[in-house]
Amino acid sequence: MTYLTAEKQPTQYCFLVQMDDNPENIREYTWGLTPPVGQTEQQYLDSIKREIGLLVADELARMNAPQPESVPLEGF
Amino acid sequence: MTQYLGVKGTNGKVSREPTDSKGYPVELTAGSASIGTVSSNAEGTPGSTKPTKAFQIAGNDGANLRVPYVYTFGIADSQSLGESLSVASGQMAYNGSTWDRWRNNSQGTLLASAARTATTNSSDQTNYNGKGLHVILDVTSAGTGSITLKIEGKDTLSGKYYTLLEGAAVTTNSTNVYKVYPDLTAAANSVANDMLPKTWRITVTANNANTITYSVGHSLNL
Repeated sequence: MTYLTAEKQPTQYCFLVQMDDNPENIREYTWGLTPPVGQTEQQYLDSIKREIGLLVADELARMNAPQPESVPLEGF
Repeated sequence: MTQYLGVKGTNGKVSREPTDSKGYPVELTAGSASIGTVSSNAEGTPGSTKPTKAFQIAGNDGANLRVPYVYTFGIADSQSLGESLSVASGQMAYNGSTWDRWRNNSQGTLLASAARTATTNSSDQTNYNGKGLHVILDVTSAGTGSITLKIEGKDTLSGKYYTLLEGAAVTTNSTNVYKVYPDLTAAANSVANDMLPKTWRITVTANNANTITYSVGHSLNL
């Protein structure tokens, strides 16, 4: 996973992410600017970075998951 | 709403009809995928060698005749367009400045399954033409953690969020469903009689600092 761009815009953070080696697998994520109560901006950005990593890993796992084999049901 | 037309050929290389210097449609030679008015035998069949006589609207993929056919979204799901050239159509909707594809019911991941200890927001989500949604909070290892989920709309002018629905505190392993949709019978902490705005997100508030493992998914509905 590679960050192509990471920007702070007037009303949001915007991240453009290359998920893997496939140039078509690019995702854009936007996050609100205000951190949750009790979090610093840096903690918030670290949390966003972690969540993006989790989302990308989740999507790649779904994309690359082998097709489950069907099992014949007995008695039909 | 309007419709758009596109042309799909083998390997997706075909994009428009070729013309000569006077603007008349011409046949492209073998070696490049094309679509156009070709001199061909109207009895040609898809996949056959390109004929040389008669007149027919057809295309070639660089070697073989490909007969266009009209493919209309909505006839059935998961249809293969095969190797023929095809014309596809789909609905588009104007959003005030650009055109968006018209969406069907859709689903996705808001927060992937993971152990968390702090309040976490999802990324901003875009609702193109849905009316409402279900959000599913699945807690798989609650431990001594406690979380509360909130569905929020966003005012993109100010960047501020407002609450559409706030759930009750969740402290056990459980699957919790939150619904926002017009004309639903509202129920405290789980159902809101409301519409879903263009931009929205969820926030999962940590009520204490203890670790809790969960995921959040959604199903957006027309």
